[in-house]
Amino acid sequence: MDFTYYYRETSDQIVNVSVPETSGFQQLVTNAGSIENKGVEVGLNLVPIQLNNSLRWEIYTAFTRNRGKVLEIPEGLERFNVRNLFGGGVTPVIEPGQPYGILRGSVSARDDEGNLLIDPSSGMLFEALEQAKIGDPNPDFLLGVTNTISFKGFTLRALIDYRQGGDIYTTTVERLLGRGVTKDTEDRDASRIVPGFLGDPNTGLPLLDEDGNKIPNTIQVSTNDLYFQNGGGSFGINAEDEWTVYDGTTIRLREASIGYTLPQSTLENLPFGRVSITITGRNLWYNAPNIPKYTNFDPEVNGFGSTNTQGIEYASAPTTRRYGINLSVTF
Amino acid sequence: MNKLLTIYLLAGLFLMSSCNEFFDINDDPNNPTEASVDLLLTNTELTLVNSLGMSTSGLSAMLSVYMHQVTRRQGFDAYNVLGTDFPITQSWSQFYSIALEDMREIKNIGTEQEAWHYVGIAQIMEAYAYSQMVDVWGNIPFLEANTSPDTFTPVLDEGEGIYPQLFTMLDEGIANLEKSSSLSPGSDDLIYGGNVNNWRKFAKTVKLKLYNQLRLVQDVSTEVNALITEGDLIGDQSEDFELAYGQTQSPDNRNPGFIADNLGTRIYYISVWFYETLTGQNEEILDGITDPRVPYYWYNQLSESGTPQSPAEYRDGAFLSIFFGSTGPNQAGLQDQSQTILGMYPVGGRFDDGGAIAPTQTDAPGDIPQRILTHYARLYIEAELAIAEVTNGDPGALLESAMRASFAKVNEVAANYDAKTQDAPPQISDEDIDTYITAVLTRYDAGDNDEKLEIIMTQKWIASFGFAVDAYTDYRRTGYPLIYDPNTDNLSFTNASKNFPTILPYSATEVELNPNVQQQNPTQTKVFWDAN
Repeated sequence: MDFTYYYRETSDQIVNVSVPETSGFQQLVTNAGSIENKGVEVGLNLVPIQLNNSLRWEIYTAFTRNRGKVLEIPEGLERFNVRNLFGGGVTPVIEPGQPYGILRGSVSARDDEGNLLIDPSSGMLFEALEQAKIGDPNPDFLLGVTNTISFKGFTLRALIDYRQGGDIYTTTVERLLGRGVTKDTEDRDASRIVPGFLGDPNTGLPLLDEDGNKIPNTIQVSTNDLYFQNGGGSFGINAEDEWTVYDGTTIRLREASIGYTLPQSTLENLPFGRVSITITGRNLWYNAPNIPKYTNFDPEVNGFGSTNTQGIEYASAPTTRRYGINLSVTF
Repeated sequence: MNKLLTIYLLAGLFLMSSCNEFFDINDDPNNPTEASVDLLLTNTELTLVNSLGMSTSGLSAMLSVYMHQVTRRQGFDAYNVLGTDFPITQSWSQFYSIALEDMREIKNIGTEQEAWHYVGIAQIMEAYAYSQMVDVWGNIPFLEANTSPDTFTPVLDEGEGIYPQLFTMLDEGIANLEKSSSLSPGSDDLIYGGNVNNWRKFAKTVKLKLYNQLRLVQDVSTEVNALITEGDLIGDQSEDFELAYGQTQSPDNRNPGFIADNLGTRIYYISVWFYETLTGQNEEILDGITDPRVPYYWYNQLSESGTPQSPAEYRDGAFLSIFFGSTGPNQAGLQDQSQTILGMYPVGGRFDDGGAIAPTQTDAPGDIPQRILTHYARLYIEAELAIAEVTNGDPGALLESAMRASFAKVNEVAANYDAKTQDAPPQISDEDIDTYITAVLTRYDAGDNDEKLEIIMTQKWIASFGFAVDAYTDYRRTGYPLIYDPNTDNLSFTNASKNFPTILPYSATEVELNPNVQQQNPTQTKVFWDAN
């Protein structure tokens, strides 16, 4: 068993700080800030079965948990962008007290108790004046379990990955829901009522009845309208950014392989040293329980690849499933 | 052997020198650290005009929708304006991080080099840019803006406190134009070609415009009458403050409104309200008076009997469009080859000769200037000041000359128009102009003072087609022209859930990054001169 605990504080890195445009500039390159990372890594190797007839079952488990927190940014600023994206939409930011690269974007208007406000003319949501934190792309922890069963010349191996948490902003799901092309949004004429209270889109405040009470929303909208609105306020196309963020928890069969190595006895009369054949498959199955089921969307997709910008996906190409056959011969 | 040695030596020398240059990595020839005032001036003018005009990133791209000259299928339709809307984030960014920053640089370098004409022009443009920003955003970063590295997070200043400083800035600019200058602008000045007299007249016309905008909250008669008596204002259309574009496709220097509307995706529909007004079908405005400018203003891609690509939401003869605030079933149908598009006068598209084609980029020049502050606009301002009794002028006569100047501008554009595959467009005849003006003046003469003001503001609005920022300001000050109300038009599928925005929200990018800027509610906030 391996166990690692680490704590690392990094400061005065060279960063591109996005500054308010009213300063005359969009970015300032400077040495600034500090960030801490602490976490645990555990590696555990178990062999539950090992028999004399060469049957062996081995389980290797790797667990990783990292907590990052931004401690300090240049003075005078509240936050700055990891990357400037499309003019004020969802943006990954660096903000003191928060993990690195949290997502900020538009949110729906709410009353002071956190209830959603509903536009009486449409029965749908409307956008709040100010943006807010809408997600954290950093996973809570990662777990990888490798099972290896070997018997005689055969080896069966499977790697199962589990990722807990880690939000993703995904326009793929937004489009699929908004265009109504998956089973998630079937029964499009059914009536729905968005839970919340009626609000005034002009003031952003709840509407009150004669007694001064808030008025619960009773306006029916069709499933179709739920996912598509022209001017914002839906849960699909033209939704406020917060509704396009999903929890990326995933369980995945990352890799499975079956291999056979010819016994030495068969090779004695042949000019080969070792012969083995392996069939492998990568990314064979996954289940992301908090992503709309029929979108079949893999939260591992990332629009910006291995960069500091994580958890944002703009209709990127999906992940691939690969198969391979591997014949290995030595002389 | 000697020969070989020489070769080695030469090779060594060569390698050494190239090594020296190679290691000089701190000089980046692609990113010069110093600019000259002439290069800065061109970019400043272009950025300033584009951020106000019909470019997709210009304020008119949104405000012409709210002034019901065009309609767009965008989130900001139905008055749902947000700080994330493209024209807002982009124009904010262009004003502060490009135009005003370049002006700061021109003033610094120009003062150092005693290039006073450049300094004066920069001051005049800076005052004008700030005035437009106060007019749409109210309180804005001013004193601390563009002062980095002293501050990166400027605070907001009150619009009311900014205005007086703009007059000072304009006066300083005018004074600098009078000085002898080490360098003088020429072709780098895309607006006036280096003519400092025109810059001075522009500066004084801006002052007149701003005093007019202040008239509801302070007595401006002394200043206004002094400016009019002096008579040093934009005097004819050759002195119009407008930026000429070219016809080149690569690099593209055509009118950005033309690029947005006449190529590929067409983003602008003509507002039904505007269409019905100009064709005499609007019962509330100029009912029964048809405007001879119609074929110059927009182009019908369909013939009267033509079949559109998708079922039409609004069709009248060859004209096809959609309603403001519509949620109708045909609002989103693809009509790029069928809808009526911006024509010759606003962006340099096609003159409507009834040819009914779907123009491609070679069918029209796209080089018509973006008009910003014109001779006719000055005359409408004077007419408004006269009807408001700030001056003793004859408002009816001023209205007539303003209308004549508006028609003269259309005819000027038509005369200079490169018709490409079309026949050259005709001039609007004197007869048609007289008929129209007589009809309008008849109603004007019959109206009371309020109706007279309405007619003046309505004519100004019609003439402004292609630049909507001033119309938006005029509407908020005077309540005219009457604009379309989607909630009372008897169409069940049009509505606006929000009220007309009396101010624009700040760029969401600014609010996110600058702790000193809080977002403002566009329906609950007003600009200081908005006494209504």
